[in-house]
Amino acid sequence: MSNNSLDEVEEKMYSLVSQIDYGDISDLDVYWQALAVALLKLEIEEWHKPKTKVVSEILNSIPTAHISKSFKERTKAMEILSKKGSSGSFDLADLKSLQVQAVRFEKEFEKLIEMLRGK
Amino acid sequence: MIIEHYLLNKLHNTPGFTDKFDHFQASSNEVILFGSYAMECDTAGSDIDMLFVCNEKNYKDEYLDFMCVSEERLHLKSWLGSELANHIAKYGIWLKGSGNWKTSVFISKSSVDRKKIKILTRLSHLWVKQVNADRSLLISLFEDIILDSYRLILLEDGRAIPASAIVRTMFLGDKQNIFVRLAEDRYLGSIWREYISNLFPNIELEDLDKEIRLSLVK
Repeated sequence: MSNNSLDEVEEKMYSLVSQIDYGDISDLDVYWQALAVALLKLEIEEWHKPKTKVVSEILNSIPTAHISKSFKERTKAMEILSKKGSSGSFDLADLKSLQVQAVRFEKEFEKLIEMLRGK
Repeated sequence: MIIEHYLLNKLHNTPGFTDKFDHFQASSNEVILFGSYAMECDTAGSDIDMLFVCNEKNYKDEYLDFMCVSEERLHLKSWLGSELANHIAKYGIWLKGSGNWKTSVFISKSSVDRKKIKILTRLSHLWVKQVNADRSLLISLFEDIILDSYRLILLEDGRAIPASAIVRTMFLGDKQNIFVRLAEDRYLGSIWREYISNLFPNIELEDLDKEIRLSLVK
């Protein structure tokens, strides 16, 4: 596994979480897509890369037991909330919910990156 | 401890401070004073910036700006790499707790990128609203953009951002032409040149730099 590719995934993930934490939700799709593109650059044994730029679908396709069901579900839920942000139908409760989920998302994503680094 | 005691006595004179502070600090593992009061450059209009490590909601009024960060978030890189975490780690005064995390802060690429986006957003507002029709208004609105741009330079150099009054003093003491500097690729590059030539047509960058400095001194 190339460390450069993993570093890029990590940086894109932090950018996404930071953007959510900052409360700037109008262009979250840009950050999700950048993370998806970085993930698709990874080379993982026995992984058939999906033809999608949806992060939750990419995570679903990675052949590892280290991606928990709750992590995948959280990612999907965050994507749905993020879409509300770009459509303007987003309220403060949605933002708070997204921010709380983003903290868990970052922790779970860090575990995945460490696993892929072979730590 | 003498400084902390002196500062707390000073803060207790602020309307509403004691009640709110007691409430927040009781449920917090760490309490940190930051911003202008911590750097002793507060003025009559300054609010009191504090970070509480707790699970409460943020609180803001005319005098107080209390931010809350959960213990869980405190050790994540999205927090440790933020502009705020770096400011607090370098300039904050701990009133409660140890602040073990402050040695782990770093300036993340996303913090630098966010500052670039903020500057470009403001420039696009000026451009869309065609504020350049009124030169004195444009220069006055540009003051904040220039100070934010100077923050970008500090962040890109890996430095924590001090309180606003100190940023202003640092900028005025730094004689490099900021309009030329920001056109470097590592800051804003060609997009900066485009905005400046559009907003300030037919003006030499040397003259523009002098004009903005004079405006900031006033």
